[in-house]
Amino acid sequence: MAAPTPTPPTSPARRLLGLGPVTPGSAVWYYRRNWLGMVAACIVGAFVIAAIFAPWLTPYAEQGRGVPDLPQRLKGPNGSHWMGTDELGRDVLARVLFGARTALLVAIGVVVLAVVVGVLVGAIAGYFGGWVDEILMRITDTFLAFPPLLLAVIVAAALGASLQNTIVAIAVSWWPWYARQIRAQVLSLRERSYVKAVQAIGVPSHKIIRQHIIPNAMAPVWVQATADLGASILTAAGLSFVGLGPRPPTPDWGVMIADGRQFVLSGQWWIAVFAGAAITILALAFNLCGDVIRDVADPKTRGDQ
Amino acid sequence: MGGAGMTPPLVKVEDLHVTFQTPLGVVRAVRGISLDIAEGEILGVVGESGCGKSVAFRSLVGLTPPSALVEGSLFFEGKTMRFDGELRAEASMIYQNPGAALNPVFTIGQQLELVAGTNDRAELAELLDQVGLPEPDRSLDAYPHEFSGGMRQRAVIAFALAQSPKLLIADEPTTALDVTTQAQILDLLLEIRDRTALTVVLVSHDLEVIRRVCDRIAVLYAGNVVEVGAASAILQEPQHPYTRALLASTPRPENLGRKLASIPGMVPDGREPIVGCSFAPRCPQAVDECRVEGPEHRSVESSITPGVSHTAACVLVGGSP
Amino acid sequence: MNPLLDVRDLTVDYRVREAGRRKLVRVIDGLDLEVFPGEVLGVVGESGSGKSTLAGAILGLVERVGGSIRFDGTEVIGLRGKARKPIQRQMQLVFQNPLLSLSPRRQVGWQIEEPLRVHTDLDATARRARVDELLASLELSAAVRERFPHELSGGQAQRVVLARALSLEPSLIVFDEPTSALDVSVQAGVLNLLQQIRTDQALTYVFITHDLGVAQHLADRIAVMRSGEIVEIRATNDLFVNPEHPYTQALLAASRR
Repeated sequence: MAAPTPTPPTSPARRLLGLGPVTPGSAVWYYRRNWLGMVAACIVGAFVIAAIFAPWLTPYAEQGRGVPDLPQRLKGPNGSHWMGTDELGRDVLARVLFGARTALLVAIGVVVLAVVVGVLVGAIAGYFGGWVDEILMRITDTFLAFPPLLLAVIVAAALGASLQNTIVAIAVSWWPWYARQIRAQVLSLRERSYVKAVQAIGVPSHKIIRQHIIPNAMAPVWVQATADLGASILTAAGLSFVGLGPRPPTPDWGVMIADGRQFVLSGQWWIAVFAGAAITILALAFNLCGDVIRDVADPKTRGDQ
Repeated sequence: MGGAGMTPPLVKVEDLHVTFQTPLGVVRAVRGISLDIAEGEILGVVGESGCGKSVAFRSLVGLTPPSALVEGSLFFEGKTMRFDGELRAEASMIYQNPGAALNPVFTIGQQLELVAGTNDRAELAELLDQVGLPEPDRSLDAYPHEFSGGMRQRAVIAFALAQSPKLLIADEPTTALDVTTQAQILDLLLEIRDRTALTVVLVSHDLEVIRRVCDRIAVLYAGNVVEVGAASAILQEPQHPYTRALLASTPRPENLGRKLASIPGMVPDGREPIVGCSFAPRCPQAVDECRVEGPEHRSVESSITPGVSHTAACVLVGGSP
Repeated sequence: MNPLLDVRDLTVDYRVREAGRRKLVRVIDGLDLEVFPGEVLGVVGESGSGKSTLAGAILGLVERVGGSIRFDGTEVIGLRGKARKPIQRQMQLVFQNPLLSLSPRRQVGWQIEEPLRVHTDLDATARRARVDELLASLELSAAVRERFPHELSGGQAQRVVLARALSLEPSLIVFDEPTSALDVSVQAGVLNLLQQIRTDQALTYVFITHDLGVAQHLADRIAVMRSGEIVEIRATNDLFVNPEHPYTQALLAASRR
């Protein structure tokens, strides 16, 4: 009864990645015990697979990329078009599959860009303090003063509509949150004994920040970043809905909803509904993952007190 | 066991077990503690981190987390008590960090009113005066942040005494304090005991603290009592190898010029099953017998003070089980 | 004998915000201190006495330092970057809570190598050999190199921190803050080890602690600090038998009776 939990065998996926067995008590181990987290992770995984293998998962790959097939326009869901076709006769399922590529690209692009900028600014401000901190944080505050969505709209409108600009626009409004979060972490980390110890040894500041501060300050950022993947999908969809996202023929869920909207009242609901469902499910799955990661990252909320 | 003497003990704990169900397996924090606490005594409970001392005494007043399973018997003045906090009517508890026990947005007086159940200013001031807070009347209107660490601990002791408990459980009450303040708080505990015949359990990792105020000492190791008895007996004639090692490892004047004893190995993990004596793997004197069966407590007569005896759970201890 | 470390009229100010306004608070005020080669100087004091700040000032970790700190005849206050490097080799800092002074996400071997990477031209193989040598001299197995700090026991972690401090063969080690985080039985092993290393390598220690028992055990001389000043500095036996300053007397009375 009191025997320690036996070490579980390494799963094939982890072996492929060169990882050992999951240590009992590690965050990954706790994550895997949470069924909601596992369901969400599976959904995200399914979307990632759909995005990567989109051309092989549908016979209408060309249509997915935007080639019209006008004779087939506005057909309801049927045997050959499971989700029906849109106003240009393209298979909606193919559009949704290829749209997953856009959505995931935007989500990852936004989060990576915002995290990189935010972490750099926050770590430098927090570590050096003084006037460096003052200047960087005033800049950060200026960005924070705008409602994020409004700022994204302004930047997107100024840069012009394209996939890259959508990423930049959303990242511009988000990096300050990461910067603030990292700065708060760093302020407490720089007083830690192990940082003082390497300062006394004479390790240069840029190495201390890179090797000792940032790795230990990232835990809350990963949690935030996972949840933000979902939020960036929503925001990107919003931008494309108002015409500030990637231009046709790029497959995009927000554009699909915008275009499909006019047909809903006349009974052709499937274009907007399937695209909307994809957005909702993926965003929800990312948020759930973020929640579960937050819980397992904090020993107090692991549920075993 | 020692100390029980003629009068029945105020508190009697029998075969106390506290286990935690965690996703990592079952953790056995307390493994069968039996202990008597006599009325009016100061009992010192000493042990290193992971010996279960805090968990054991929190479980008596029902302050263990919901995932803990508490088993055993608890008697207060001869009456059976449950472990769900029933004892809280008779016992108060104070902790290491007095700041955490005080609400920063209310004055000391406002908080004391709630626990004391009176709003009579003179009575409340009297309570603060008892714990030696200067200018008790003005202190009632002070906020916790205006107090030093020592004053906060005094305030917390006043809160604990406001419920007129018969037993005070002090869990590392001086660990966060400076030496001079620590000495004052310990003096205060002694003074309160002398004045009110309060029974005190002082839980600490610090033998110095225990040495100064306690009448009796219980030494805990791996969730069990390994030696218990009069303070003088434990300190001057320790019988259990663990107690001896603990005393020899403390930087004290009598150890000056000598190499301090360090104990090899580590305290057993709460998840490991223990066969035989829990200290055997680290014990320099362990014999084969130690690894087979958990030793009974055996009584030892003091060679310095005749008539005083204490018990140690070790097969090497002479005398009757 | 010339002092190895000669502190004269040291002042340290901290900047604090009070009611939105910045002001300076003097935490060390005109402190004089000499540490002689080969001795263990204990610095005792209660929290807020400025003893940790003193360590920070000696190691160059705090700003707004005034007065003079001479190490082996060289003024070290204000030395930064390259100019400080020779001093950094000679002076090491050890926080006595070992687990907190190791970066949680780096392997132990990498962390022991840190001073070697900064201060020597040794290549990876030579650094590794030096680490192995240090681990062996501190009775740690070479396998420890691959571990992470949380996989070490308190005693092992303390040896690792010592290995890092000893890697450059310094002449002075400043130990900041007590072993209070360690259990007594572990603390005992650490104190024994420190004494042994000191005799083996002819090191000088500045040993900062709030625990008079620990100071008495280890130190040749003891400086008692209060409110940023040294109120009394004497040979250990003298101080314990015959404390002169009322504050020292109070401290001793509080810890012994």
